Amino acid sequence: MLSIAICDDEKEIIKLVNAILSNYCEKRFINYQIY
Amino acid sequence: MKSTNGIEIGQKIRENNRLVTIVYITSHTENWHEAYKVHAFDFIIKPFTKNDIFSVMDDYLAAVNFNEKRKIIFPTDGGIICLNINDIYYFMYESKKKVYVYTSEKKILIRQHLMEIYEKLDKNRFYRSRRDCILNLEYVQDVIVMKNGDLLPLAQKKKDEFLTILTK
Repeated sequence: MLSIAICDDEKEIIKLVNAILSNYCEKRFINYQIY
Repeated sequence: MKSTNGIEIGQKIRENNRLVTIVYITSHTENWHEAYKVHAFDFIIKPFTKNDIFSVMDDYLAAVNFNEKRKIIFPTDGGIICLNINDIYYFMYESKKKVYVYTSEKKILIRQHLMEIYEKLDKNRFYRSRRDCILNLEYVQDVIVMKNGDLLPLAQKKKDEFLTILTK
């Protein structure tokens, strides 16, 4: 399991990074959790 | 993230955890030296692209040997098979839309397109040497000779790129 925490004061950056990391993990079949 | 706040947060994290990996996304490149104090793994400069983040993730997973412990599943005629990354030598598209995975012990027919397979592999570890072939760089002994003696194809236009990757 890969646990990732994203921290930023811009909500849009968090949403964007979250989407990219989710895409990365799903493409590579990695179990992940993003906070 | 503003670099000062980011550094402060990094320092707070480090007070409680020395092992967690920190990556900064920043437009304040002038404060990079401060980020070294919290032993940041990498920096992504704004504006960034999807590939920038993918590249850092690939580097991170390679650094922690994440893939060494990984298994990948493939659909076959007889159901699902689960293979350890370390057991895979290469994938080869053969006649009649058949893709085979070659391991140290056997050759298995899998029901998946080569491109789909390539998508889920670590690009630091696996290389598409030609349209019909993906090989595990760990097991390449010579330019196109695998550890088990199999000879694999290499597209002429990819020769330079392949040699560069192999000698990294």
